[in-house]
Amino acid sequence: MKTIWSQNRSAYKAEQKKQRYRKVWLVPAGFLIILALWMSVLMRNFTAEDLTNGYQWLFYQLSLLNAIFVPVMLAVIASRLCDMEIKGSTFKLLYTLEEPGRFYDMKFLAEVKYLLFFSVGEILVILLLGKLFGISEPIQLLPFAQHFLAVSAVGAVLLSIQHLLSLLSDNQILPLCAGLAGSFLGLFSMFFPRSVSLFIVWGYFSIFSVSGISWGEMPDGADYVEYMHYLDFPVPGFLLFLAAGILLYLMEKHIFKRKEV
Amino acid sequence: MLLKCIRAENLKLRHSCVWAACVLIPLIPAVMGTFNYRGNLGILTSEWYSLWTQITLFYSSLFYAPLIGLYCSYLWRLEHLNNNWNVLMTNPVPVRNVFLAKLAVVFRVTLFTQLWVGVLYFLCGKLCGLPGMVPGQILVWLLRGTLAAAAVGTLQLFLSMVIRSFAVPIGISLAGSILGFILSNKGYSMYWPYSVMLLGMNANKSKDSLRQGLLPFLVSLCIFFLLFTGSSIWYLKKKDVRA
Repeated sequence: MKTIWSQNRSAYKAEQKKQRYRKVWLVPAGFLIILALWMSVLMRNFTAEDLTNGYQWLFYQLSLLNAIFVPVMLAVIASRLCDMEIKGSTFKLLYTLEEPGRFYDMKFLAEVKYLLFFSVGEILVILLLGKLFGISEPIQLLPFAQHFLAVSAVGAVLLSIQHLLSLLSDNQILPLCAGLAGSFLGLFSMFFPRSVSLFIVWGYFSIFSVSGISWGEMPDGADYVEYMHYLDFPVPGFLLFLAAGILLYLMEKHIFKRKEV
Repeated sequence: MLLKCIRAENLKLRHSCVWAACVLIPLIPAVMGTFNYRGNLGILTSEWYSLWTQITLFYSSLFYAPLIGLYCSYLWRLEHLNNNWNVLMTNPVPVRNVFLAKLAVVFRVTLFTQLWVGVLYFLCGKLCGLPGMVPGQILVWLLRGTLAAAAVGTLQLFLSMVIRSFAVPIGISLAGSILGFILSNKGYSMYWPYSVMLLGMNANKSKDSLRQGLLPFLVSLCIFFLLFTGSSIWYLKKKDVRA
């Protein structure tokens, strides 16, 4: 009799085998290259003074760009990995071998791997840009760790939504549209009042941004880089977000398990 | 023959959710752009032109190409499913007609999208209390943006034909749009299909970026169109199907 752990391991291995030769890692890698290019273009005209706040600036810009890129990137990853069961109509056969709940979890874990690849890659991009452009700000471990946690956690919640939509939709237009619409909403939620933006999950990249600008203190025409500073990471808010994310995931899993195949 | 192929492609789109995407996605930039315009009336003083900058800022720069990518992916997805490639390639029609028919349908849906964007722009302008009608110049920009879709549409059709995944070509179109945005800011709009689209739409600009003449824009468009159409037809003729 197999233990739950070994059953999970076998299910995860099966997911790994399904991904062989599919080159899914190219998707996050491509987005990382675009991010690095974008940042390099913006940083080309940095003065020595700007470079003293270089990492703060990078964290600020990346939280904005993540709101645009990450929802679509996750929609592509989830769709690419979930589409194989839908295209081949293999659910019926699959469920004779594997529990739907376990399949759902392992498939999600297989997708999370690419999200983590992106989060780690983003940290490396920041460090690389820092080296290339000679950022003079000292490297502090805490903001890097917080940024990594924020991108991974918000990304995981968004991925869970895309995961469910991709598995439920016979037609992958719906999840892709949700990803595109999420990018829009995430971007524009930054202009909404705080009480409204808290309800837009795609906008949490900026809510958990590790650096910000004191717009109120900035005189007209001043360089905003000088008014940049690290923000206190909202630990209780982050924990609440994680708890809500786990609850959302369980609800999504419940919805998926009830799906007729 | 081509007309028959177009009719067949049109049938494939009946009752499909492509139309829902075509109607719903442009609603978001229209609403958001209008709110942004209303919130910055102090600095956005060129009325209809300022509203245009806000609505097209993100629509053209980031979401127009993925939307076209979505249409193209949908059209090819039908062929990638089951053994439809075999059926498609054994049809007694030249492969160029198969491709051109798909292109015509993509163009039709894009034209509808652009018309819808125009209607939304007009409605948002009126809701903001802008006087008079939409300036004729902006209608030209909309038309130019639709023409530019020929370059991106052929490229996306090519990608969706070669890549069997539904989502990957759409991801590529977003990445292409972002690169296009960067290249456009550097003044290299003519050399990248996704930037040609920005140029055509005059995205986020209240002054016409093509006031010196349309010719370079049209030449660039034709080159991309011929290049990607030629590559696609060549691919269909030479490569064996993977059903």
